[in-house]
Amino acid sequence: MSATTGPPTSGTLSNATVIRRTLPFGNGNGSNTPLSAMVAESGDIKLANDDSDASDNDDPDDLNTRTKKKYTKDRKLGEGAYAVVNLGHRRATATEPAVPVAIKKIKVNTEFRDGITMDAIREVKYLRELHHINIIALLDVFSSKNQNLCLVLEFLDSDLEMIIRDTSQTLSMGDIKSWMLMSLRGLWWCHKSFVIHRDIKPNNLLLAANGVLKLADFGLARSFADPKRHMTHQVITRWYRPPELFYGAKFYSSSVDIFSLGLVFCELMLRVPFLAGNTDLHQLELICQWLGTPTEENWPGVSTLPGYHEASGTVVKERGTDFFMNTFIAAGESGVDLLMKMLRLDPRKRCSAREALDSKWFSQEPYPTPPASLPKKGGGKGIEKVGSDLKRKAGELFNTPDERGKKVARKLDFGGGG
Amino acid sequence: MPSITSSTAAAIARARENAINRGGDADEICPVCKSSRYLNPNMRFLVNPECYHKMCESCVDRLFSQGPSQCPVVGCDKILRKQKFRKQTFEDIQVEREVDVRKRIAKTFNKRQEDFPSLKEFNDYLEEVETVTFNLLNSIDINATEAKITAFEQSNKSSILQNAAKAAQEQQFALAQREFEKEHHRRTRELENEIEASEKRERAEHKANLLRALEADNPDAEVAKVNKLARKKSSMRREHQERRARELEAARNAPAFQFMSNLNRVAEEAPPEKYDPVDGFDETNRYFVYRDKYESPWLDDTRNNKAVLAGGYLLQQYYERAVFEAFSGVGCFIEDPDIEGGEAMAPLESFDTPMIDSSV
Repeated sequence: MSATTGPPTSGTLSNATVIRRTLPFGNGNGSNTPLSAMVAESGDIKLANDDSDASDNDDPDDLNTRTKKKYTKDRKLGEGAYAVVNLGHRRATATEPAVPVAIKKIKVNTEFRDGITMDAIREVKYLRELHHINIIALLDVFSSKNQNLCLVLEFLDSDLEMIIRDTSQTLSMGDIKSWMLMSLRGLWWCHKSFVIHRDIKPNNLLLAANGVLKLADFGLARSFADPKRHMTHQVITRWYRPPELFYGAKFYSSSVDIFSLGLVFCELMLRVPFLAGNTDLHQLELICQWLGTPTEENWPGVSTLPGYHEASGTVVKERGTDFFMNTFIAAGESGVDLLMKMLRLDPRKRCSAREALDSKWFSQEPYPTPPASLPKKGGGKGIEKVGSDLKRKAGELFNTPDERGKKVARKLDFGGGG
Repeated sequence: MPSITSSTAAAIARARENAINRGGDADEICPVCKSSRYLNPNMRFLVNPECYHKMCESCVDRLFSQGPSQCPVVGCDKILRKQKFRKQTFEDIQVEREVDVRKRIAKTFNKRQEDFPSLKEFNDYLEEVETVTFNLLNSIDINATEAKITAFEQSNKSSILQNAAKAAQEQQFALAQREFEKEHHRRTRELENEIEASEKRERAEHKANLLRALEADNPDAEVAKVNKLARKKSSMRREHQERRARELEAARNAPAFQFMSNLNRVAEEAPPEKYDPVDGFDETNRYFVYRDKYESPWLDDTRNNKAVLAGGYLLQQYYERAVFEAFSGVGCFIEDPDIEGGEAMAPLESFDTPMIDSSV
C-alpha cells in the first residue's frame, strides 16, 4: 500500500472512531470484493479485534458476544422500513470514557426471507472501507440473538435538512460554503475509493455535535461499474436525481452525485428544494424548465439513451451565467460558477468532486465557517430556552405586565418582517 | 340655575372625556349613517385599507355582514369585506394609508446595507424603494409599479426570505436580551436589599450583644469578644456577598449571550491559513501514473458506444481503478508495522491488519 492510501489526518475524528479494521481496506481494492466473499467473511466482520480480548479465541460466536457486550442499548431513536435505530453507548473501559453511538438493527426476516436486505449489505460493505472525517464511521457490526444484524454507527444528532427547514436561523454564505466543502470532501473520498453514493440529499448529510458534516446512508451506494455492466437507474431521491437517470441511462458514473450535491447547494441558499417534482415526469419537466432542455447540441448522444423522449413543450436553452447570477446572486461569481459546473445537463461536462474542491469559491471571502461555529439545530430555540430559563427563575415579580408601559407605542414599526 | 348649569357642564365634560378616550370629537358624525357621537358615545369608527373611507361600527355590521359589498361612499366603487375593517391608528387618513403602504413595501424590499457592495448602491436602492412608495401613495403608474414590485419579489425570493428571518432573529434576540437585562437588574437590586437588611440586622445584633456584654461581670473582656465576633461575621458576610456579585456579573457576560455574536459573525473570522482542497491528503502516486487512454479491443465498443457515453459513463474512471488496484499492494509489507503514513492514521489504526489481496 502506498503512502497515498491513508485518509487525511483525522484528529477531529475523536475517540468515537476507534476502529479495529478487520477487512483489508485497499482503498478500492476491497471495493470489488465480490458479495459472496463479503458474506463469507461475515464472521470476520463481526469481530472487532480488541487486542486484549481477541487474544486466542477465534470462535465467531464468542467474538460476537464480546462485541455485543461492548455496547449498551438506550432509548429508541427511530424506526424505518427495514431497520430500528437505537441510541446506545460504548461501555467505558479503563482507558476510554463511554461514547454515544447509534445502533442500527436491521430487521432480517421482513421482506428478504433468504437473507439480509441489499441496503444493509451495501451499507456494511462500503462503510467498512470508507474512512474519512466527512463520512459516517461504522464502528462495529454484531448480530443480536434473533440473528438480526446490528450496525454500530457514530452517533450524529442532526442533519442538514433540519437546518435548512429551520427558518428561524440565518445561514451565512460562509456556513453554506463550509457545508459544501465538507460534503464535497466526503464525496471526493467516496469517488476516490471508487464508490458512488447514489442518494445525496440534505437528510443524508448528517451533522456531528462539533459541527462536522458526514455523509451517511450508504444503502444505495455501489462501486464503479466495470465496462458493459448495467447499473439501475432507479436510484437517488427524485428531487435530487440527475436527468440521465430519468432517461434510463444504464451506464453512468460518479457525476450523478455531483448533480445531487449541486441541488443541495441550491437548497441551502433558497431554503426550499429547488426542483421539487411530484412525479418522475414532473421532475424531468422542472429540470427542462429551470436548467434547460437536454438536446443533441448541449448533450451529444442524449437521444440514444433508452428512455429519451423529445421534449414536447418549448425548448429552453441550457441556462447560462445570467440565469444563475440572477437566481443565486448570494453565492457570488465564483460560487455561481461552481454551481453551474455541478448542474450541467451533460454528465460528462459536470465537474468532478476533486475539480469542485479546486474552485476559487472556497478560498475566497467569506471564508468557510469553522465547523465548531456553524449554526446548530434549534439555534433559535436556544435563545428561547435561555429566555424561558430566565423567566422561570425570575419569579412573579416581573411576570405581571407593566400596564402603564403597554399602551405607549415604543416605536413605529414599518418593518413587516416580524 | 346654578345646579343645572353645573350638571350640564359635568355632562359635557364627561362626553368630551369620552370622546377623547375614543380618539374623536364629541360632534363627530358617521359619514354614512350621520349618527353622531353625542347620541352614541360608544361609537367606534373603522376603516378598510381598500379605500380608507371611514364609517361607524354599526354601519359596517349593517352593510357587510351579508358578505362583500360596495363601499357606501358616493363615487367609491371598491368592494369591501367586513373582515378587512380595522380601527384607525392615526387621525389623518393619509398617514394611515402611508403607514400601510410602507409596511407592505418594507416586507418585500427588505435588503440591508450589508447586501450591497458600496454605500452608493445602497442609497440608490433606497431611492428606488422610495420612488415605488411615492408612486403607490400618489397613484402614479400603479400598474407599472406593481409589476416592478412583483418582478423584484420574484428575483429576490431567497434574499427576502433570508432577510426576514434575519430580522426575526434579531428581534427575538433583542427581546431575550431585554428580558435578561431586566432579570439582571432585579437580581442586583435583590442583592443590594439583602446586603442592607443583613447589615442592619448585624448592627442591631451587635448593639444588643454589646449591651449584654456591658452588663456582665467583666465588661472589657466581653466587649472585646463581642467586637471580634462582629468583625468576623461582617467579613464573612462581605465575602459571601462579593462572591454573589461576581457570580451575577459573570452570568451577565457568560455564554448565555454569546449567541449574539452569531448574528454578525461573518466578518470577524481571520482568513484560514491556506485553503487546502483535500485537507492535508497527499495525492502523489509514488508507483504509477495514469495515461489518458489504454488500448484494448475489449473496451472499443464501450469507447464508441454513444449511449454509454451519453449516460456519463467515464472509461477514465475504469482505467484509474484498474491501475490503482493493480498497484495498491505495492510498498506494503506485512512485517512492517510502521508503514509510512501510519502515524497520521493513528486514530483509525487502519494498518494493524496488513492487506491481503482479497480480489485474487
